[in-house]
Amino acid sequence: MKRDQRMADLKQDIQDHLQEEIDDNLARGLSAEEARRAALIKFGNVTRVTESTREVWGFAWLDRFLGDLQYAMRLLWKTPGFTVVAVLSLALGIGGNTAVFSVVYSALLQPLPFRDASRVMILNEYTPRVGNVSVAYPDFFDWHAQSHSFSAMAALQPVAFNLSGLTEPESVNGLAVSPNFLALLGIRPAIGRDFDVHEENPGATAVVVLSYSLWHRRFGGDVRAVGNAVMLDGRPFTIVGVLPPEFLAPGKTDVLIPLGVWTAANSAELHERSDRGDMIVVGRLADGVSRTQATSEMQGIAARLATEYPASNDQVDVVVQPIRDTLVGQVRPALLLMLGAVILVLLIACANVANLLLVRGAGRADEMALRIALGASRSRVVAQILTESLVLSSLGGLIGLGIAFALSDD
Amino acid sequence: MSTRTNRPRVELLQGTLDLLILRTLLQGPAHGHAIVKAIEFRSDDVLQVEQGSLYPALHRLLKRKWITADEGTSENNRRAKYYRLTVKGRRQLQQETSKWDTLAGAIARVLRPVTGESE
Repeated sequence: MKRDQRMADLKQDIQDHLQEEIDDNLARGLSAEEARRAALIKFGNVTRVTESTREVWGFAWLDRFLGDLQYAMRLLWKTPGFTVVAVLSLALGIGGNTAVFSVVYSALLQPLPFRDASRVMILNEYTPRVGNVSVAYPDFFDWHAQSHSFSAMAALQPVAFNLSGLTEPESVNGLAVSPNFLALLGIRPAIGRDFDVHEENPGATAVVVLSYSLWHRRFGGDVRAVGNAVMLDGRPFTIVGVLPPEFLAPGKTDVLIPLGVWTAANSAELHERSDRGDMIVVGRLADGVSRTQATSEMQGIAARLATEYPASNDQVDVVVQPIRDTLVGQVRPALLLMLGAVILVLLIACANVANLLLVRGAGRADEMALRIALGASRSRVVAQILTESLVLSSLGGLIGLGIAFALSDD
Repeated sequence: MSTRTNRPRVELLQGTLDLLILRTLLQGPAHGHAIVKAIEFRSDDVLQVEQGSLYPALHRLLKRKWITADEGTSENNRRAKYYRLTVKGRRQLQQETSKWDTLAGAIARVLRPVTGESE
């Protein structure tokens, strides 16, 4: 290429120069050998001159880097034992960290797909004997009516349905939710509309919101699905909307229906204060209200309910927790512990590789002495060794990513 | 650097080689070897140029377009590259020379023995 041409040109110039000097020396009566020797001494280190001239052109670092890269790969190829051990150590360390960190990220760090998620609280009832328990439906109504700390409050109840009316029936998980549930979280349907408040009332047309994946699976993503009916447990529900793809509720929720519609059909047990289903309550803190303030207000309400309904509500308290805590509450310490463990593994791997490199470096003292004698600067030798480490760690990183991918792919 | 002659020899100050090359080329185009010889000759062999160090300097000047290079034939009838001062290089030389004069004059004044001061 152009650069090679330039290099050849420079080498030719230097040869021409040396020849001039040799001619002069010969004219001064030196022998051929002496003339050449004197010329070389006078010129100085040819390699170094070439190198520093190349630096003037710019991009010399790229050439050097590519050269180092090539050399490093050759060297690693020639010592397969060392290479395999070092790369595998790094790969295991990096792979473990990447896999665990992906879990930690999605569980603890990634923002939840809700508007202003830190203001969204999960409310549970609490008894000293059991700890957190589900909320009794009548209690939810009292909370809703009496509390002022929340700008919105919604109850939800996981339900499984037999979905039919399409080509083949299947069992789907769903949530029966207060109609304001999606609005509370700040989720807008991808197509169609959200529930209307009145659709919970007895006698209203039964409506359903589908998950994005169910909509794709059963309707091929056809927007005309809205307005059609599906059968849930043998009862027709009109599709009014489809959830956005990022909506994720625990347990692969595929259908949402208004809570009132479901309780009306399954009322017997749920309307007793002493009967608890699997009901969860979410609330969005009103502006300017802290979680502590909300908790104390809710505890006041719970105390009143306890005196009013001692048979069912004696010693029943309320717990208000941020939604993220309830989603990952119990696994958080375990996750952090695992993260700590894999970080240690990585550190050990690094120490291991560092030791290997150190031993190998000690064995290469001669090579380095030779390089310096030939005119390599200190930084040049360091750059070359760093390039070798770079190749090694890149390989480790690549394989590590592969391991992480294999570990987390389930 | 060779020190085999009796005459005291001085190594070049950092950065002065560029100036000396430009000055040498003011007399007309020359090839690398001739430039070194001219510098040594004009300084009465006081200034010693490590001949190799000429090349990074030449390429630096080429890059700044202060000189150009053409193919030619040397006195010994060899292929050689002749370097020629450009207009831009000539202007640069004037600037650098006056800067150098100022500097050298100032240093000389500082170093001049003060009359009346006992040695």
